[in-house]
Amino acid sequence: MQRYIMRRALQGVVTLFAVTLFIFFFGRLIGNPLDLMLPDDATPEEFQHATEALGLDKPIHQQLYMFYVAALRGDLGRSVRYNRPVTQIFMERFPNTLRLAPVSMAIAFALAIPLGVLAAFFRGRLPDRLATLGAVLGMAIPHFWLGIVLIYLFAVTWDLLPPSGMGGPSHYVLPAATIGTGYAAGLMRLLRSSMLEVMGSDYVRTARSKGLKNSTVLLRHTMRNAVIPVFTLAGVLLAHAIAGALVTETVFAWPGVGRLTYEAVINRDYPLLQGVVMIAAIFVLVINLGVDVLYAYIDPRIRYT
Amino acid sequence: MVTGHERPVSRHTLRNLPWVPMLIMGAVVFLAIFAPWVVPHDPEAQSLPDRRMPPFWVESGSFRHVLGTDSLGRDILSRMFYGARITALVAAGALMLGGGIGLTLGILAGYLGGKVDALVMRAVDATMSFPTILFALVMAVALGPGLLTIIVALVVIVWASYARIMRADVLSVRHRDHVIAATAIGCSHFRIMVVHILPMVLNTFLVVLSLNAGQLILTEATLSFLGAGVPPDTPTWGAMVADGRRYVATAWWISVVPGIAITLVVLALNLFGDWLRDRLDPRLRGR
Repeated sequence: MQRYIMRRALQGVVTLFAVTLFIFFFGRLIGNPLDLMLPDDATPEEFQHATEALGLDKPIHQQLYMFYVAALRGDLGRSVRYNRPVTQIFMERFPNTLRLAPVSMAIAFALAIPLGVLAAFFRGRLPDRLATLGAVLGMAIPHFWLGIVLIYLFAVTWDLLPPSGMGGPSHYVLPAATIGTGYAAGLMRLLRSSMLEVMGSDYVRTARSKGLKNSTVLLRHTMRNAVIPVFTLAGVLLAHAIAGALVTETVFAWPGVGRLTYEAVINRDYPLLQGVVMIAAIFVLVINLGVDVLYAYIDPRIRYT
Repeated sequence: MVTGHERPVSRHTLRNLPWVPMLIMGAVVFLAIFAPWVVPHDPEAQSLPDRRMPPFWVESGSFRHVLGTDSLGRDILSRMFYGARITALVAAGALMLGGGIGLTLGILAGYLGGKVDALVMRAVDATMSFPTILFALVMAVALGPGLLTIIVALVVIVWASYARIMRADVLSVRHRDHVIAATAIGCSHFRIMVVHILPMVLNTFLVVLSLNAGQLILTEATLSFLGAGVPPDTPTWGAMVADGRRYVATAWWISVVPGIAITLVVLALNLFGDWLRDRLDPRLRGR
């Protein structure tokens, strides 16, 4: 087990290196951030001075080296746009994204678990068809559009909920529902097929032949095992919370990391983009590893070597 | 191809085809090709007096602009037809390029094994362990606006899943008797890969290709919604939804109508992919 974790961690470092390299070089292609930073009438001297201040005049491999050395010390540079340390801006925005994630996941589970169980139980009959249709639809609807439609219906037409921004509990409903329904479709499909697999197994037949009630078999015997892959997927989805929130946070003007990433790209803010994407990558790698390790604890049949 | 799952051809075959998805896909392809001849209006023609006109079924709407007009008075239906052209072009380009790269690398990795395999799979892991939309966004903005940019950005994120699945499929056929026989009579590696392995994995490839197409179009729409990659004023469905965002309180149709088109097309592709998988390669269920 320890060897497995070590190997995975090492692989993670290699992946992280590849990701930062990719971001670094493509980030440079976006364009010169000074064009946006300096006023239009800036003199060549001012331009030169700003270039040197940001280290943009050094050869690219030297810039990369400086980036890595600083990153190891926890310094991801300063945002060009905000002129503040990237880590500081990130840490301000990150809690907002994290706040949204559990609400979205709760909505996703509240939809996916009952629907998945019902669909598996009534396999091939009307409830199954309706639930599956819902899931298929949920996978086809673009998030950004769903967000706009929800704003139109609940904020504009019926005036029930605030259209955007962050505030009281009512501000969470629409963005969380937008993210949550997207999660729910995948989770429900997975739960359904995993339930069907478990329902065909020997011990479920044994439980049934003992004369246990349908509900007992379903909830105590089948669900418990069927839900393992669903939790794995939920973990993976949470790991992608930063990227997943990108579109939703942009639509709902939610001051989180997703919107920050979008702004960084639009403003050609290299250091900010590099920093955010790097932290997002570490986040994904650590959670993926965590989920796999947790998996082995939940399910004693799984052993890594 | 012998898969052992083929059903006998009967008079029911025609009825079992997924007609609705095929009709939607056919319509998109038709519009993509014939857009300039079937549009009721010039998609670029602005007319400020006619701006934000509702679709015909809404009060004060008219049949002159069946689906209404946007904030600059451009006809939404005409722009949607041209949007179909871009969607089809980008999806076809990205699928062919990304699929081709994934298929080639997957076969190479699965057949040659060893270092090539390790290298390809590491690259696959690196690509897949990372949120794809961030990749695509960074690339789309970095390469500058253009259709080719979107295609390249999409290729970078889709090739990996093809490579992984094709590699697994190649591993399952590379020790078949006919491959061993071909090796024994001295066929070159190239010949074995192309003549003896490729046809065995083609079914899986087609299924995976069609299952991914919907997701690809969603990603393309998301990118153009965020304004990355498409030249300004290009009528893409995603950009049209973005356009209408500001007018959602007064002119909902500008955003809603193109979104329905995206949903329908993605839905059609997903359903068609499911059907093709059940037909050609049921082993892929759940993958």
